[in-house]
Amino acid sequence: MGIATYFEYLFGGFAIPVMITAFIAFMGFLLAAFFVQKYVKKFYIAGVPEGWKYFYIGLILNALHQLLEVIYTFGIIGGTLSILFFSIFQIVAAGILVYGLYLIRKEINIGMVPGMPLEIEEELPPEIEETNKPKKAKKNLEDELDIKED
Amino acid sequence: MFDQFFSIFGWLAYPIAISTTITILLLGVAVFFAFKYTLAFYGDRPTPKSWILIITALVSIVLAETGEFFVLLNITPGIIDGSIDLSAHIAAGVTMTLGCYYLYKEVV
Repeated sequence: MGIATYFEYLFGGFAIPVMITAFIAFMGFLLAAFFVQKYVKKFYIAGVPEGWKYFYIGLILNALHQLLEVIYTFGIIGGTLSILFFSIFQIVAAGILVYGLYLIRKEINIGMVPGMPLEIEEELPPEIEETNKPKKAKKNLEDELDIKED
Repeated sequence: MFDQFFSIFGWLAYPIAISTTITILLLGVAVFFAFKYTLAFYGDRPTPKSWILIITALVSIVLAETGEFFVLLNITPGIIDGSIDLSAHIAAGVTMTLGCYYLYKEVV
């Protein structure tokens, strides 16, 4: 038995239900990607955050993953290279979806701006920091006003 | 137990098994991040229907992929486990669509 027909053999009586359900999942993920695109266009007027972009791409790739499952179940394509391609493709699809959700989660902490550090420590320039020290500031003020303490 | 799986696929059995396992784990991590996002973003406020449905879809797809993996490993599905696997596929597709639809509707 060749690899191409192996999937059909394995699923047996389930082959047609598997094809139908995988096709429903394919359509579902594709429609979800469509709504996500509409959502980000409506919600993020200034610019779409990276997380949502990756989430959108991840949904499309997962839709294609489901479509490939239909193709493989019926042995439309087979062979070593296609099996290897499928093995890599499903990891990439799931990985991009995870990365998108990771960035979406991360972007909450940084005010929806991607690429910024989680905690911002404001450091004053050395000259300002120096003049902000109490003694130095007092001396500067005295010099400026030309007053001396008795 | 897995003799047929390895005898038919040969050395390809390893990349198939490894990639499917990684995919299931990654989708599990996706569920985790989606859940963490709702906790962080909504806090004490009630989680909207959209994100509940998206998380449900992700959980369903994890179940569906796990079911498929067992079928690949030549554990022939019975009526009950086979139906759960197929239902998980349908649930994933429908809930993901509905979740993203509500996500869009909530801002309009």
